[in-house]
Amino acid sequence: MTDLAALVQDLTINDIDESNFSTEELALKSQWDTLTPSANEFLPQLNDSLRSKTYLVGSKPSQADVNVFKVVFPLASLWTSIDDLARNRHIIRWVDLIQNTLVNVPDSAKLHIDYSVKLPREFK
Amino acid sequence: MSLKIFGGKSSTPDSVSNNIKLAIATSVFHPNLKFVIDIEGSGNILLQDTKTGFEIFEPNAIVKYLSATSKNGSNDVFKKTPQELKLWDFLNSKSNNLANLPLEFSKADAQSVAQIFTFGTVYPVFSKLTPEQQQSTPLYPWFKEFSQIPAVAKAIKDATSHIKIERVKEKN
Repeated sequence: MTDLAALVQDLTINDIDESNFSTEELALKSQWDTLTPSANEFLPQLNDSLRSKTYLVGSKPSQADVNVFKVVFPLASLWTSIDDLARNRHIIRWVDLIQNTLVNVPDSAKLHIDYSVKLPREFK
Repeated sequence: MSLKIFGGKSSTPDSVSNNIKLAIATSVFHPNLKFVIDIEGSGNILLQDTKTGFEIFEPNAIVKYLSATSKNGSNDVFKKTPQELKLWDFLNSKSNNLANLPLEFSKADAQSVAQIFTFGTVYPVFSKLTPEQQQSTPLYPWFKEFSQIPAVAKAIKDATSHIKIERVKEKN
């Protein structure tokens, strides 16, 4: 956990283009910018929000993805039970996307997703 | 109108502060929109557009969205102003002493997002002060003027009608 926390401080970030964001995308970015320091308290809302979005603001990546990722990534590495994986399934999908696109995480530190795990069906 | 806005049903100072901000922003920027506190339902803060499915729940982002989508609104509101940054520093300091809030406004302006944030932040603190204590606070003249703007006065009523704020009794 400590090693991961140190690692996320040193992540290098790939290019993010935030020009041409719509009002809705800017509002979502503003929301997650404000919530980033306490993102661990908003995991249910984060998971729910990512249910219908690729990134935090929708279909475009933003700096908010990187900032929230830095908080959530060390937590996600601790989710091993079926309950945790099921409860945070959309966050896990998003972490996998971010670690492979927006930031450079060493392979040895990446969150490894076990696709063989059978999760209970999601009720919306 | 496809926009709906819900306040929080809790009566904690944070919830009061958030509801005040949301009710003012609704009243000022979208006067045709109704600010609702769903006591029987989840009672969580939410702005949703039933047409597009767009949803946000963070109060400050909602205030900015309401401003940006108002008649003369602009996406520039999403840039943080120096006043906002001073306010966040004050909030992060966890100080309740309004004398430590390094903000002053020459004129009350309900269209100013920074003033809405400031008013919402100080409202629960002011509400617990005696009239004498309120008047000795540097922000008091602005606070009083802002609270008397008709759209703000209506918003305060909308945001606090379901709660009872207890004033701290003066010590002899």
